[in-house]
Amino acid sequence: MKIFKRFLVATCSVALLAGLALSGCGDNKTDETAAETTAAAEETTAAEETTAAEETTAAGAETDAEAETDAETSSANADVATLLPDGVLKMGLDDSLPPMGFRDEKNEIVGFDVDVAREVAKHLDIELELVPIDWSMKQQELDAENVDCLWNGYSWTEERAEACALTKPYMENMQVLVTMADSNIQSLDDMAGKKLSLQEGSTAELALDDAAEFKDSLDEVVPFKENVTAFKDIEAGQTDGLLIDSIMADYYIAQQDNPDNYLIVGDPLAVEDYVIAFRKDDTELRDLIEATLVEMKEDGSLGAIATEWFGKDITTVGN
Amino acid sequence: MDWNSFVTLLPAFLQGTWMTIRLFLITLLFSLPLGMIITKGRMSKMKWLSGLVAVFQWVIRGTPLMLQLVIVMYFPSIALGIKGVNRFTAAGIAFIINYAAYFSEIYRSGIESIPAGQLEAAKVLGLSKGRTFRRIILPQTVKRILPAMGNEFMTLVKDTALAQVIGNIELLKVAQSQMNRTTSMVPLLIAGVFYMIMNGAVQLIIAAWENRLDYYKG
Repeated sequence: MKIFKRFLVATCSVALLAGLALSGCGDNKTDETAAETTAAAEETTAAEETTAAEETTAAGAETDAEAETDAETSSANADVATLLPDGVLKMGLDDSLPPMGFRDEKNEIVGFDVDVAREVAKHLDIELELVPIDWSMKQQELDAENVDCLWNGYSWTEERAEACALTKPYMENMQVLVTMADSNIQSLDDMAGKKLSLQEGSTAELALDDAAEFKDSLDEVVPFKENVTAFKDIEAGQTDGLLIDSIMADYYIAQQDNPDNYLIVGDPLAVEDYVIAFRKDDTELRDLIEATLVEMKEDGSLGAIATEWFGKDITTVGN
Repeated sequence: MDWNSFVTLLPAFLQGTWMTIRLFLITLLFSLPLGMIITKGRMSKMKWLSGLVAVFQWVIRGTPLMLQLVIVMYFPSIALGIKGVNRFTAAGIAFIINYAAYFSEIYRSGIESIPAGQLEAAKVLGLSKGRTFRRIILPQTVKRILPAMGNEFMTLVKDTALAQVIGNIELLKVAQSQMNRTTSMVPLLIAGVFYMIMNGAVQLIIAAWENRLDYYKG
């Protein structure tokens, strides 16, 4: 009897908790005006982003002029109007993933993916809203419709293809092993019995799982929240090697005073493709963005952005 | 990171700090009174009510705040179809409920530390229950719980960093973004100094308050 009573109490309180959460969100909806002040900060960030965008992106008036000159966009525009009624594409990104998407010295969001997305928005005569999210929460953000797409060095995986509508690959990425040059680790085999660091939740983890033999040869795998701490860890000699996206490794090493201290070892552990993720049922929007990327590849604007960031056009759109 | 880049980054750090401060103030504004209501429920003579509140405290204090943030943010939109949940509001709700649960137990410890003899004396003197609580119990309770509350306030300043898991760009998130760009740990140290300054203010305020209430000395 006593147990039953306790069970009852437990159930009630869970219900109460859910109720609290609910009423909280109800408040959130009705108290829109009250929440205005709190929303202000986000607004400021958004505003700041638009200012940042001024040269590259579409502030309203500018795009209107653009649309007139672009006769071919008219059919696409009809699609855009139904797919994105507000005319805003909300791009979910991790704002700490250089060079794909990160904060510059003025704390504005920049990067290769950001520039490409801005160009896509310009082509489609829509506005781009950058929504910096916690990258480990990306699927929830997408499902909750807080963002329309995940676009920030997002690698293709089978699980992700199951959960989302993915575009065709637009760039190739490799999982490479980075070590300190003076560590005498010259190949993946030399990592036997050593410690490996990587970013948790990244595709480096998946690549490692697929390379069972390499993984088993390691002494320990140490996960980090992001790559800079992982880099500091190999610099400090706590771990011996770092498994990381080649594009990010290149950026980090190029930033250092002594790039020669680092070594990208041997063959990549895995070759991956960067794609853009949309909600599973948002295939029409996915197709539209994909088609726009192909268009941009053809008119050279995509290649120009890639050259600006990587020195050459390394995009694989349309291949 | 040199001095010049620090100066250009200052607005970003201040913006992050401002979000941290707002979250801190809003949490205190609502959780301090909400905690009192929870204490009342917990100390209720109705067994079912105090049991229910105890379970609530168990759920809130027994699960990570990070998890609570995620639930408040995503449960409404994913499970119930309520779209457009404001990130800051969601963080505020999670922090308020979480801190109210902790405050309520500190309040209870304070109230229960007042000897029963005082209640009896107040009754004999003909003071009403409300008056006894307001004039006799509350002032002594405030004095006794202040150090414990100070601990919680300082923890709260730092806990606001968790709001970044639901996409709030608070101070630590600004620092982490800049750490990734500069590939240097210095932005984190700068954020640390900002937190120290904020908590320095909290500590001074609590100390001044304690001093004022120290009426038995000198």
